[in-house]
Amino acid sequence: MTTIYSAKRIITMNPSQPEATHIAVRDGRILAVGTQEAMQDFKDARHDARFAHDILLPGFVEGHSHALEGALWNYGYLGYFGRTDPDGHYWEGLRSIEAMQQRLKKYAATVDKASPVITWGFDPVYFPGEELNRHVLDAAVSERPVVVFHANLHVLTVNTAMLKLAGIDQVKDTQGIRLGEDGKPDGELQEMAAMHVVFDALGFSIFDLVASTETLQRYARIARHSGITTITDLYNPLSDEGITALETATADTAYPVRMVPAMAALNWSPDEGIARLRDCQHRGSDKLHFGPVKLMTDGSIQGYTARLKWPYYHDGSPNGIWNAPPQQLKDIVHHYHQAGIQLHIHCNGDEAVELMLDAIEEAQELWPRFDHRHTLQHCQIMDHAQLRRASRLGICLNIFANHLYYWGDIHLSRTLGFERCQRLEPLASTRHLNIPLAIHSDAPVTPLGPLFTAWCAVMRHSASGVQLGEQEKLTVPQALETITLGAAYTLRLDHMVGSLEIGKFADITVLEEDPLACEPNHLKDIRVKATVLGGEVHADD
Amino acid sequence: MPTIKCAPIPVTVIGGFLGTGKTTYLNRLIQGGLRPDALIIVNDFGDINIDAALIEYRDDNVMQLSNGCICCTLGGTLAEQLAEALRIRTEPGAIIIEASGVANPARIADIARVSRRLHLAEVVCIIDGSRAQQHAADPLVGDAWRDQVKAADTLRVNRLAPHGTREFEQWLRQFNPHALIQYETEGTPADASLQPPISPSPPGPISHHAAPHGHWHTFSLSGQEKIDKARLATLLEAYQDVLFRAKGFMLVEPSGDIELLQFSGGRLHWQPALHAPKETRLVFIGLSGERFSAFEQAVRLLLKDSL
Repeated sequence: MTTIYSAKRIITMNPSQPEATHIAVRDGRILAVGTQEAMQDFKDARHDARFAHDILLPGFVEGHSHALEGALWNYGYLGYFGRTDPDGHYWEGLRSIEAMQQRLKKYAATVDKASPVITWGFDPVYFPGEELNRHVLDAAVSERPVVVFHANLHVLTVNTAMLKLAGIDQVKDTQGIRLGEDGKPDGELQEMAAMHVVFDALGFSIFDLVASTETLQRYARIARHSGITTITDLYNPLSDEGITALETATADTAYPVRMVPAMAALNWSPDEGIARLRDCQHRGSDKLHFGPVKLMTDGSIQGYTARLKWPYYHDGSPNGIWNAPPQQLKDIVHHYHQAGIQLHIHCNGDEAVELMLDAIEEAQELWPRFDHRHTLQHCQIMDHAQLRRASRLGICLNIFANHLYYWGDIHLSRTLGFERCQRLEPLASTRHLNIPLAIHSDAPVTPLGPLFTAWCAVMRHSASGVQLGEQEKLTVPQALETITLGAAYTLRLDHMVGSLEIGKFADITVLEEDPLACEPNHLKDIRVKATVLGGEVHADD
Repeated sequence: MPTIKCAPIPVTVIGGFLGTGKTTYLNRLIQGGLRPDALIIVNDFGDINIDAALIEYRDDNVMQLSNGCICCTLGGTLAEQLAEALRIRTEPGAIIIEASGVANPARIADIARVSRRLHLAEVVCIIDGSRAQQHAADPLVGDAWRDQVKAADTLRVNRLAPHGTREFEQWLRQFNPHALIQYETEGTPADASLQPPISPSPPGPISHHAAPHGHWHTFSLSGQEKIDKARLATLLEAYQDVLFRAKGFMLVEPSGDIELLQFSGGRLHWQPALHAPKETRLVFIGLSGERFSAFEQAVRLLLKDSL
């Protein structure tokens, strides 16, 4: 059965034929792309004009996000920026503590009376001078335990009832438990200790929920709403339970995205990790692609945990932390490289980038590999010498463009200062050096939304409207490539997805407006009307 | 919701840098006899010196020993792991955590300080005396090293010459003036009387090319010379501590055949080469330094001698 879709414009990302008006689909794959005349050859085809006034693009590829996004939507959202949930409901951003209290109260009324009230997304950097503490939460909900996860997931604030439940309403002299003026814990709990004591009292951890089909379903629904057809879970434990959940979720014919889990390297010794990936190698399907491994080196810049080169943090804060000893991180790179496995490497700070460039260079000297496509992830302030090295070593970059908007103001004033903010997310330079380039959201850190991410890359505006690094802007066509073919390339799937051309999966994103014809500033506001995955149309009801 | 019935579980945190001997210390604790219901959380089972016959059950993250101990590898964050372990297993009688080589033990100790089910027993930091000053000044890891030393109740110093302790202690005190300092000098563990002798632990999966800090150096040889296989093999073996990889084609003495040489992970392998150039082309990769230079010289001499 062949279906021919007509469209106002088809932007293909195929350099040999960048534009078209018709696309023919058969057996889930693209049979032809071209003009109306070119479709005459398919006599028995069914014509479908439902997208006749729309713009078709290759399905968007999100090269770096986490299925945790699907777990967090079990709970109430309290973020500063507006965000859309899996059911398509838009949660307005909360711009004041008062608005946050109202939302909390309203949300608590919807939660079963016997359960604690769990929420997430609060970002204190946007409320300077104001303090979130137990009193603020008590004022909204006092009769039962409340937990507010901060946006970074490393800090939480709880109310008095939760402090009592966890048995820490009276402790003193413990780092990580902030005390109020009365000398008692004021509700803010930082880092591992706090997470432990709260999970312990609640009897479950929010992070356990990733290995569930329900979480994966919810994650896919959010992705589909923003036009994504291929998505990653870029730190999957690949536990037996986790693999089963991936297989079950993606086996559902209605599952609307292709999934690429990358195995969390630090959960395994390299030999065990390699064996585990080998075991998974033949377990994939058209919608489930095992293969890469993910390595975490440092933390985040806004959390002051990224490893920066001299002069470190602009405001003089101490340098960040490694997730494992540098030598061990290098050894892990060598192992997976030697085994022929592709590495995705989280490195936020430029010192972490330097270490990983050294590691890949050494690995290449010892075991030369063409087309390894090792991809540095985030790498937000790579300097030009590092970019040239990356180019020479055949490395791909997946840059965290959304930082420009969400934390640009903070990087400018506190963490990085003026000059480093000129090369924050060095997108144009990466392209000039012909380094394969993708951009990403890192959801749940920032919302899934490739068009928004592309807008960040083009406009480079912070939330307050300051433009950071004009020289590093991408054009709209370049930005569209980074969220389609560019990201597909970093996932080693560019022969299957990322462009609309014969033989590839019929994965299409349908837009109501033309991103190449509109004001670049309007890019983020273009509505996604539907996605097509392997020829199946998924449209909003 | 869990209810509190018994005394808090004592928690011991073992910190210290990669390669300083944390695992050796842990192995010693295990062999010295832990309480049977202890939970041990480690980075990697592979480094732990457990008699295979004692392992009763094992899955991805947990190993149950027939003498009762449970081992658990670190995955996800430690807090998650610990919370999960306490939820799904019988309550352990003690918890021993081997921190990662760059972890700040103070943050881990916080878990025990905060939780009403846990009690912080001790934070031990293992220090490699021969490399401590280098670690403290290392631009990549110096800050993590200082944090580890600062957080400890007990500093256990090994690999230090017996006569150097006084100066070393003075230097070390600037980072932690209060901790108990124990020395383990060459051949005489500080607590030798309390602990059984240790057999050397087998190399972990990554130790065979775990390079200390430094850079790679590579040199290559080419020409028509024939090389004596046995003499080259002796050299490769003698310098395997700085040599990570050697490979290439060589003309073999006296036959003049071409063979492919591969040296990796301390293992040497030869095989006949069929479609290879009729000349020697060898590449050696190792850790730059005097010793590697000496190796290079010796190999070049060998080549000359073969002429």
